Order: sequence, then structure tokens, then C-alpha cells
Amino acid sequence: MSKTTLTQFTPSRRAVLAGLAASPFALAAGSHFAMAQPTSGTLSIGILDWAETGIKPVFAAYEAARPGVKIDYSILPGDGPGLRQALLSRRLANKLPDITYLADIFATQFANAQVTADMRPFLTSGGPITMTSLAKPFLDQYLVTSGPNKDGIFGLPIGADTVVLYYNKKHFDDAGIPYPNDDWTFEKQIEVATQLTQKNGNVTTRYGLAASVPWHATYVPGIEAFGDTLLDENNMYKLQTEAAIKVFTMYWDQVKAGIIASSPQQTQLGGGYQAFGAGTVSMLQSVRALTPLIRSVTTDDWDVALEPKINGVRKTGMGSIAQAITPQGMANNQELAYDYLNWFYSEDGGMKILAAGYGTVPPVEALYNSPIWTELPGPPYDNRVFAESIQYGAMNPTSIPADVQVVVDTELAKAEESVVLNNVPVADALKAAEAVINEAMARVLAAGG
Amino acid sequence: MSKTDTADEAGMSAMARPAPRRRTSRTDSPFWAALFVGPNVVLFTAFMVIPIVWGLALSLFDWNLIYEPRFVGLDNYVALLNDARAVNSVWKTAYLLVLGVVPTVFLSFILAALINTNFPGYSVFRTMYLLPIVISLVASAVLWRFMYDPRVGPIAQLLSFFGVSGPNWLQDTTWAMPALSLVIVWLRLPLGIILYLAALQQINPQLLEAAEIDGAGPWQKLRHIIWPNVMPVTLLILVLTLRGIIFDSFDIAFVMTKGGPLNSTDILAVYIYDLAFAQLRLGYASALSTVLFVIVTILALIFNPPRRRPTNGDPL
Repeated sequence: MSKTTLTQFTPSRRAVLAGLAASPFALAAGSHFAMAQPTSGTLSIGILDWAETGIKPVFAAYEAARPGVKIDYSILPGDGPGLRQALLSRRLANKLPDITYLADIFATQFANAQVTADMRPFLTSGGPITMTSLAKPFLDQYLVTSGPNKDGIFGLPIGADTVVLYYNKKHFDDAGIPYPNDDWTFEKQIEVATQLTQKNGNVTTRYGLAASVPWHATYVPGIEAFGDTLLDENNMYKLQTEAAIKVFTMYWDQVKAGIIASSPQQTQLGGGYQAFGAGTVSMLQSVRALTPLIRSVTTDDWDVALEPKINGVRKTGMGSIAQAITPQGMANNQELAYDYLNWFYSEDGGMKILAAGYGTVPPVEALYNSPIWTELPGPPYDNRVFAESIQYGAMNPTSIPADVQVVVDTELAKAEESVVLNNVPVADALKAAEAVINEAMARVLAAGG
Repeated sequence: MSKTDTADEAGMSAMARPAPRRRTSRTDSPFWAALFVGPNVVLFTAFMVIPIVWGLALSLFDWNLIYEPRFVGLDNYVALLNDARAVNSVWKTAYLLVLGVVPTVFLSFILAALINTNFPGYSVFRTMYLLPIVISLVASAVLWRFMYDPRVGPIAQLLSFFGVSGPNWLQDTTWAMPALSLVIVWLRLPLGIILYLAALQQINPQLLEAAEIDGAGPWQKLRHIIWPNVMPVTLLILVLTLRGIIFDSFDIAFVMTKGGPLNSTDILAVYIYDLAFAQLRLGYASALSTVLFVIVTILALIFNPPRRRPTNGDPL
């Protein structure tokens, strides 16, 4: 496994400092918020399973910076339902960690369940990080827009993540196909994916592209590219629109043809990034956060490209995971937790280490092109792709309750199966899914969201 | 011909036989009874009785782990009647039982009969038959998911050797459930074989020899001597397999298909998990669990009805 940490970081110190100079983090110097550094204690942090590889050097650096302080981290399930189950159960047992990782779709529910605390006091206390330090689109993912915690911010993003196209350069070279470029359209991508796909009879042995169609980061950008929205003005899903049908059809047609590996097929291949690493898919839609894992499992040379245009428009899925403080009374060591966050977002803190380990694009506009991460040795080589994608970002609406998102994921997966396995027309499958989803939406909204 | 009882067949006849007692008054005292039974009662209450009662109570509430539980009476049970997925899950569970129980009982008996002989290397075969029982369910599921892989799985390779292109077993609505049932049968065979083997070895060889002298062929011996002697064990295996398939198939189904494709393997245990831990509808999931509990209890009573203990002290 190839893993770059701060000590292995190749860009010059001058380059790093130059990149950071424009950072809001620099404001940290001399801040009156700086509290006395704790000299002892244990900080408990719950992290998502797939993030462990990237975050461990961060923890080690914090412990080095605070001799006497120990981080006791635990692994949380990386999938949405598992994460929710774990954290809500731990809250009931009063066993929450001091800091927990979370995904944006749970911001409101975790706030209502008192799993996470409002970060506004932290952001407005004059510390190194303020309400304007972090890029607005990513911070807004954790802004609660309704209910008892309205206007609160219940998580601090640790990355500015977009969906980009990972591609196996060797497969392209072997087929004599030019690498993806900024002019690629969806149709061109499918044409190339078809050329790269290998079959043995009816069985696909190598997929041209792995894309999870029932994932919001796939269908939300597509629907927006066709000029529509996912929800109507009453927060109900619109899956029978022309845009929605076009988007799902163009993907599912290729799943049926064995060109695109769907989620179940990726599972059969061992998982999306594992399949890319093993060379059983040639192109993969994925995010920066998985780059350390992709680097660790991929032996062929590879790179990244912008997602192709759909309907002449470039839109790409965007989001971030975050870290949040556990509310007062539940955390064992809230003071240490705030110190960790101060350190994490400081000039030489955890964000820099995480970025230098390929794990994130800092969610700070001034660092979108920082050499901290853009000058890391490849692969990936074309790192501008990650930052450039942000301007094309399309996010899953934050108004969707977590309880509904679970139903959405299930029903769209089922719709995919009915289209692919039973040849049900896409419009009919989406109609059936929409009925169940909106019934759940009505039920959840009636119960208070 | 004497009918062998269940305890005898399980090799427990020696235990049932009255043994010489040196300290009768001491071992018969309530203190000793409580001492030996007590830990079992405490653990059984803690891990079985209380969760069952708790589940029953929870089925009368609407609760999502976040807000206070809300009493809804029998609403969850009424809602079950109109839940198409619940009905589908009941049918899928019944389908899995049909595919799983009969082959498990039949194959257990056949395999036990085959290894109940002293052919060269028989101990190796006995060990091999018992291997599945020492593999964890999740590991088995992952292993079999590879076996069923349409690209590189051994089954696909074997079929392609004969020029046959097999289906994508776990992604085919027709084949997914039979594929799961094969794994479940494979996992449940060892227990059946052990019990049948014990029962077969308790059959008095003189009975079989006498039958042969009387001109009985293999079929007559099977029908009139072997089968009646193993019948109580068959009922035991039937009940254990029923219970095992209903409750213990979750790991296999969840890891291999997650209830798909298109709910074709969406057995009750998978649906209950989805309701409780993905949708956080704990009251509704408890109601469905209660229904499942009732179904299993009824099935157990049908196949293994309670019998009165004989007054002479012999075990049943």
C-alpha cells in the first residue's frame, strides 16, 4: 500500500506555506479563542470505516502535538443505515464518542436526536475557523433548515468532494483509445465503455464503467442537466418527469447491455473501487475520499477526468462527510474535542495531513488549488479535476429526511432490478418507486420530519 | 421389536439408566436442583424471556429510537394485513422452508446411512461432512457468493466446461432462492447427520440380522426397522431445521442477496431487519417478529407436540 503522510510529503515547505498563506486558517494566529492546550486526557472519535486509512496519520499527529493526550477511535459503519443505527443506539446507551463523523443526509436527524451539537457557538467564538472559513456549499449541507434546530449547523465538513471519473490508463492504452478529456459527452463515454467492455458469451468479464445509478450523486446531476429538479415545491419526488426518465433510461440501458456495472454487480465484483483496482472495470465514478483506497488496491496506472457532459451540460455529484461534536452532557471531554477541531483546521493541523494523504480536497476555497494536495505524486495526476468539478456540483436536496432517503435508496434499487431483470419500462418502474417514496415522505413529514 | 426413544437414539440411554446413588438425600434436595437449574433459568430469562416480552410490548408502540415511543395499540398488527411486502416475505419464507427442510432431512438420513459403515477411510468422510458446522455463517455466505460468481465462480467454470452458460444465480429472480437454499441445506446437514448417525448406531444389529434371516430386503429393513427407530430423531431434525431456516438464514440471505433481486429472497428475517435497523420502525418490526414467533411456535407444536412424561421415570 502506498500512503503518503506529512513526513513523506514531497512539495517543498515553501510551496506548502505559500498555499496556506491565503488560507483563512492563517487567521488563527493570535486568535483570542485559542484556549490553553490540554496536557492530558482521552478523546474519543467515531470514524467511518472506509476513512480509517486516511485519518490515522491525523490522529498520530495530534497525539504528537499534545503529548499526554490520547485518541481512542472507534469504527462506525460506512453505509448510511449502519451509521444511523450505530450512532442512535450509542446515544441511547449514552456511549457516544466526543467527536463523530457523519454524512450530510443525517444532519437534521442527528441534531434532533441529540447525537450532534450545534457548531455555531464554536464558529462564532473567534476561533481559527469561522462561519465564512469553510466553503458555503459544503457547510450548508449541515445547516438544518426546519424543525426545532432550524438554522443550526450540525457538522463541519472535512472535504470538498465531487464525483469524478477514475479510469484505467492501461485499458485505454491496450485498446488504443485516447484518454477521457474535458469535451467528453455521456454518449462518448458509453461508446468508449462499450469498446472497453469484455464478455464471455453473455457474461461480462470486464465492465467499461461502474456507476451506481440509484445513488443520488448519479441521478441528481443528470436530472439537473436536463433542466429539472428532483423535488417539487412540496418536497415530493418527481420521478415521472421527462428529465428523470431520460436520465435513468440512459444509464439502465447500459446496465442491461452489460456495459455499466450496477451496484449489485459491483458487489459481486467485490465492491466498486476494488473492482477498479482488480481491473474488472475500466472506468469508475467515485470521489476523492476514496482515493487512498483506490491507490492502495490498483496496480495498473490510472488517472481521473471530469465527469462527461449530459445534454451539453456538465453537472456532477457533490458532497462531503463531516465531523461533529457530541452535545454537552453526553461527551466525556468536550474541551478536548474543541481543541482537536481547532488543531484540525489550523495551519499545520489535521486537514493538511488529510489532504497530503490523498484523502480530501480541503473545503476551503483558498485551498482548492493548494499544492498541499495538487502537487502530490500521481496517480492521480490531473488533480485540477477535483477542484474544477466543484463549480459543476449538484447536491442531493438537504430537505430530504433521512428516513425517506433510506426508502429512496431501496426503491430505486428495486426499480433498477425490475428494469434490468424483468424488462419493466423505466417509466413504470419509476412510477412505482415514486409512489412508495412519496408515501414515506408524507408519513415522515406528517410525523414532524 | 422395541421402539427406541429419542434420548436413547441420541446416545443418552446410559444417562437415563438409574445409576447407583451414594448420597440420595443430598442430590434430591431442592438446593442442588436450584443450584444446577438456576444459572440456566437466569440466562434463559435474561436472553430469551425478557427480550420476547419486551418485543411484545414494543409491538404496541411506534418508536424510531429518536422520539419518545408512542402507544398505538394494535395498529402495527392491522397495518401488517395491508403490507404487501410482509405478505411476500411470508411466502418467500415458506418457499425457503420447502426448498430447505425436505432436502436437509432426506440428505441427512442418506449421508448418515452411508457413513454408518466401517469402510476404509470412513472417519475422513465423517469429518468432511461435519466441516460446514465449524464455518461461520457469514464466511460461508461470502464463500458461496464466490462459488456462484457468473464470471469466475467454480459453478460457472464447471458448467462452461460442458458448454453450458449458467444463469447469474444470485441476480436472477428464479434462481436466487434455490441458490440460497442450497447453501442453507449445506450448512444444516452436519447437525442432521450427527443426530441420524447417533440414532442409526443405537439400532440393535440383531434386529437387522433377524430381519435378514426372515428374508427382509434392504427396503423392508429400511421401512420396518430403520425408519421407525429414527422417526423421533426425524421429528427433532425437522423442528430444528424449521427453526434454523426461519431464524438463522438471515446471515446467508443478507450477505448473499440482501433480499433481492426484486424481493425474491426477501424472507421475514431480512424484512424485519430492514424495518428495524434501516427504516428504524421498531414497533412495526416487533409486530412482525411477534407474528413470526407465533408461526414458529405453532409449527414446533405441530411437528413435535408436548408429551406427558411417563410416571416410571423413563425419559421420553
